[in-house]
Amino acid sequence: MQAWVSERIIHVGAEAEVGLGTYLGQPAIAKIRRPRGWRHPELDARLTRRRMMAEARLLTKLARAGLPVPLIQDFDIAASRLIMTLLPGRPLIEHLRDSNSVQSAESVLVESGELVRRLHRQGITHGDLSTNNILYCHQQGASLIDFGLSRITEEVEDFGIDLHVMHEILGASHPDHGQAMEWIIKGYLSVDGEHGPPPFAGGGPLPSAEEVVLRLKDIMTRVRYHG
Amino acid sequence: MGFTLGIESTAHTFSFGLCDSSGHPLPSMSSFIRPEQGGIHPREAADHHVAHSGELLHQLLAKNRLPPEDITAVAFSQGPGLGPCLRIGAAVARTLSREWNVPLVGVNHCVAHIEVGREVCGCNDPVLLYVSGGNTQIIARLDGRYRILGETLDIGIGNMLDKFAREQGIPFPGGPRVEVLAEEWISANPDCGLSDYELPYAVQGMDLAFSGLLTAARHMVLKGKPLGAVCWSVQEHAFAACVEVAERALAHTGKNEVLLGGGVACNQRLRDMCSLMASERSAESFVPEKMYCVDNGSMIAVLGRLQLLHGKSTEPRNSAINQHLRTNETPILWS
Repeated sequence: MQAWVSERIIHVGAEAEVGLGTYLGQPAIAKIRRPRGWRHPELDARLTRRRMMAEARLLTKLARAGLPVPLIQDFDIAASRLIMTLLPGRPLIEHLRDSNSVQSAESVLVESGELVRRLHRQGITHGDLSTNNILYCHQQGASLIDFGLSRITEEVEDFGIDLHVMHEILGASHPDHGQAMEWIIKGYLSVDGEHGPPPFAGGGPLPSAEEVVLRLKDIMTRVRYHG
Repeated sequence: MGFTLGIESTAHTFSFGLCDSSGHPLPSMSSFIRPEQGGIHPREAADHHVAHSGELLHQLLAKNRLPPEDITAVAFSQGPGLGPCLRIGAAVARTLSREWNVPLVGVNHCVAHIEVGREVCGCNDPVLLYVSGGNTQIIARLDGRYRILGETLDIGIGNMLDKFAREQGIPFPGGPRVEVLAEEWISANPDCGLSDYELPYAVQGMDLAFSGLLTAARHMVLKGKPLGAVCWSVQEHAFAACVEVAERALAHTGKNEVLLGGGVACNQRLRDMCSLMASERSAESFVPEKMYCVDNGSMIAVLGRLQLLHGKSTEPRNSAINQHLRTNETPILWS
């Protein structure tokens, strides 16, 4: 019996094709990184291998820490294929564009902010916090996917950049939600109050949520022609 | 409606251009300052613009056999850019508009790069990869604005190429020379491995950064690696990062057209990478002719005409320049 049975491609991303199917009879997702013909093959191989290794390693670490992320089912570096459990919910981008959504945009975004802070408290950045990469489900809340650009760090700069990517995407893709980033930050700041100061990571103390938000404001002034 | 005159003066280039009543651009008449050493000095560039504006206008009108009466609007770059340079273009524009008694239209330079690309390439709703000396942005239209999905967090890609070149004794603009050196190297050494010339690859979601790559490339030359090889590696890494974020933006927005713009879009390797990327994901890639990639007055005319058609002329009292004008501040009223 074939372990992985593919049903259909559900997303053609910039890095990988995402397929829906079953793994040992259970619903699952396959992320297949196809070679990028436009990139030099050595650079392409280097990036694919590093990103795939990082994704598998960090997903395992985060799942152990109890964060809502996909669980790795199978890792095949030769085929550039990662098989993961299927998480419930729709991407944030769809929730924010759906005016009939049961949950208010505010509560969804605050919860997403909390989740990003919980990720950062593990000493890990996501690297691509677009509204496609946060899933939201009314029953089970927010979860995170797509950790290809994720990395281990304790630098306040890295966490600040992580939030900055989110700030730009929210401003560009969801201009109708003008307060979106404020809600994310509200959730982000609430977590330390509840769980205390961040734990010590391998490389040193992790920055507090306030320090990261302060750095975000600094990074926002670096782009061209900010207000 | 007759011809629209466009005036570009955001940085090193002073340029007059035209577009006809249907919005089609005509080649510009331009002059740009080549500093003997170092980068652009804003005041010296402004002096250059003052010195050349008169003759360039005469040349443009003479070349097109166009009497000034046929010009029915004057558009100029209102921002973003270097203040002293922008002020020259704005002053020339105000003068001509008053002298000829035609409407004045202040336009956003970055948006002009997009609109001229859409006009000459015939694409409809593209993701724009805007790569120039000062700017590196990924832009897409949503809700009546061109929104910035990602951008450089330190220096522009063209600035990175120019700085690297300058330190190797190549005068401004260094980008085209880096391209030639890279091409010569890889033609002479087709089996050259990229892993011997590994550089940082700074993609953060849809944001980019190039200063680390610049430092690493500089060290590579200091360690004695051949300049051509380093140029080649710089291009491979920096362009791949740009094309990757463009692809991320296509995936994120669900759009299927990508448009290149800005001076660095003249680079053939970047053009090739972009069109390969598009074809691999069944999208289409568009690149304007080089004269409409670099800063030019014609693109300002194209956007000025569009704005005027939608009732957006600029009163002289509102015609002050804005060095910090962001791409997403300009309302897009046309389709």
